[in-house]
Amino acid sequence: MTTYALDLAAVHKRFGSVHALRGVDLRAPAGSILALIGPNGAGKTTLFSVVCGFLRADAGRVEILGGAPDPSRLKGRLGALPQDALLGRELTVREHLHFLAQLQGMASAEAQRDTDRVLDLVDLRDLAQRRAGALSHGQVKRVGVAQAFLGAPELILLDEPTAGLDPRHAHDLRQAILAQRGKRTVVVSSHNLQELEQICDQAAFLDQGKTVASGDVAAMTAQDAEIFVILAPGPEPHAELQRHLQGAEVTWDPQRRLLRVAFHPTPERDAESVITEVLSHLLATRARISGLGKGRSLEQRYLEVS
Amino acid sequence: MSGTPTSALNDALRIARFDLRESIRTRRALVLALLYALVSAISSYIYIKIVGLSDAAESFAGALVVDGRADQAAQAQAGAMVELAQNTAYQSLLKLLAGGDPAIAAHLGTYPAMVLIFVWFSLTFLPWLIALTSYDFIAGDLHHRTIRFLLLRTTRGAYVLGKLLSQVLLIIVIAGLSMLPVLLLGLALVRDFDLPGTAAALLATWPILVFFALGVLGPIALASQLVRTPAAARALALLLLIALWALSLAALAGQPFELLDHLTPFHYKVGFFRPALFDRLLTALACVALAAGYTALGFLRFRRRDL
Repeated sequence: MTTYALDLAAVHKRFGSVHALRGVDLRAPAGSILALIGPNGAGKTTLFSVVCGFLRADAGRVEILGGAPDPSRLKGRLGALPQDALLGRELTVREHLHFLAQLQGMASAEAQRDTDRVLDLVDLRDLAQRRAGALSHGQVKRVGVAQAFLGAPELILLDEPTAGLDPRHAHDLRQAILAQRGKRTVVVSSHNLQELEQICDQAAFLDQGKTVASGDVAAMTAQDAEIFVILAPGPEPHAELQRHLQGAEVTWDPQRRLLRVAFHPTPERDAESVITEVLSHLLATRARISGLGKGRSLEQRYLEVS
Repeated sequence: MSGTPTSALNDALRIARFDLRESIRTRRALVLALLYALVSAISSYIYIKIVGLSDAAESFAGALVVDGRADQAAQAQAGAMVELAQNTAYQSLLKLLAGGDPAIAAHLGTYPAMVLIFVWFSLTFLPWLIALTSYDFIAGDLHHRTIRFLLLRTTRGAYVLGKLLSQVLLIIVIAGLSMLPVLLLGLALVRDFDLPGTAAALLATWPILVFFALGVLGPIALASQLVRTPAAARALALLLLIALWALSLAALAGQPFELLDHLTPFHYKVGFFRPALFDRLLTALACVALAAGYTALGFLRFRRRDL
């Protein structure tokens, strides 16, 4: 039976006349990396705040690690990067992290070791003695990420963790998140869908405060039920291909020169066998192939459902 | 509270220590210390001016003899009159401070005059200084969302307790430091200054300042928990203090305000100078209760509010 680190059902939240969450359903299987995707104002940050206990849901069920969002129960088990939260200005990065680690329940020596570990994780060891108020925006974001990884939280929520980071640190952070797969549950929100597709195995689309789609990234992007071929200028044998392929649907986008083949996967007919079939036919008709892949991108899927 | 009361208390102490460290490194502690030192210096200066005037009067009485314009009896009479006038004025002042209570006035008379002026000035200005420097001790964290880093790891109760403790510790330290200008000015400007006696009397007044400050911190904590922005917290804290102050003034008119006056920290100012130790302890306890009560009142809203 699947256990869920995060299990939300019909969650509502209002701010006066603004109905920010209108019945969100969301489940994050334990050990998964879940992408929370949606446009600005979709309710992602509000949802994070509800899960962290900063905001109280007006209605619905919020279950985190098997219970209510109670800080005494979740102490040390829940890590989060809250959006736009600032550290005090005067104390150093190390002092902040050491304090937060201790508040999480660690003894001083252990907190010191763990502070070093998370500083290395976000490549901030050199700035450990710098005042938090003297950090750049990107550095503040990295300290925020570091504190979310303190200890061994079972669930980590990261609200736009790579926004404002330079490409190298964004890459390092993606690797750090990827390394958590199977060990702990991570929920990440970002506008960079390509990035999310690389690191997440689950995804949920949020729009106007509602979950519009959710599930395995592989299933959502039809990795095993669709292939695409990009053709270079030349022959466009999509009609012949449709006639040739039984039980498959061929679509042709002439502007992008994109040929899509959707099919019902069976043990005898998987994506690889369809690719072979399609390529054989295209090469036989002298079509020129400039790209090939399985499924559709998370971004395309998002644009379809939103 | 987080898990057990012990872990909540541990969390509160950790938060208090960290917050105090942050306050000491910011201008907040410096501003508070400077304001306290200013009040202390002004009160000492006023005392020194009064002593200076009285010395001048005594010198004038002495000069009557030197000039040969008066005989010894006249000089003695002039000296006695000056002393009598000083004594009468001081007794009237004590009676005024004691609200007309002769027992309290007599107890006030046991303090060195310089210390008494310092304490009275401090008690008068302390509420406003606290309101101007501590108003955002929770609202500031809400505004900058710093609170979110903490409330992932502890309960709201432990957080509020920790922040309140940090303010109390800050006031203890700064109230202590504010006594230094009294000693320094006394040493520099007062003839035959009794350093050990004044220092001992100042130390005896330290708890008075701290407990009274606690009573004032209650309404400030209430204001800081109710709003989100520092500016709103400052306005609300000042408004609340002005309302409480007005209530204490209205209480002079008698019932029904007399009973409500017990809800204002201003009511307890004189109580710290009652002759019986038990009464003074009761006053201290009332200030603690006031701090706890107002903070708890704010917490009723804070524990359920969106952050």
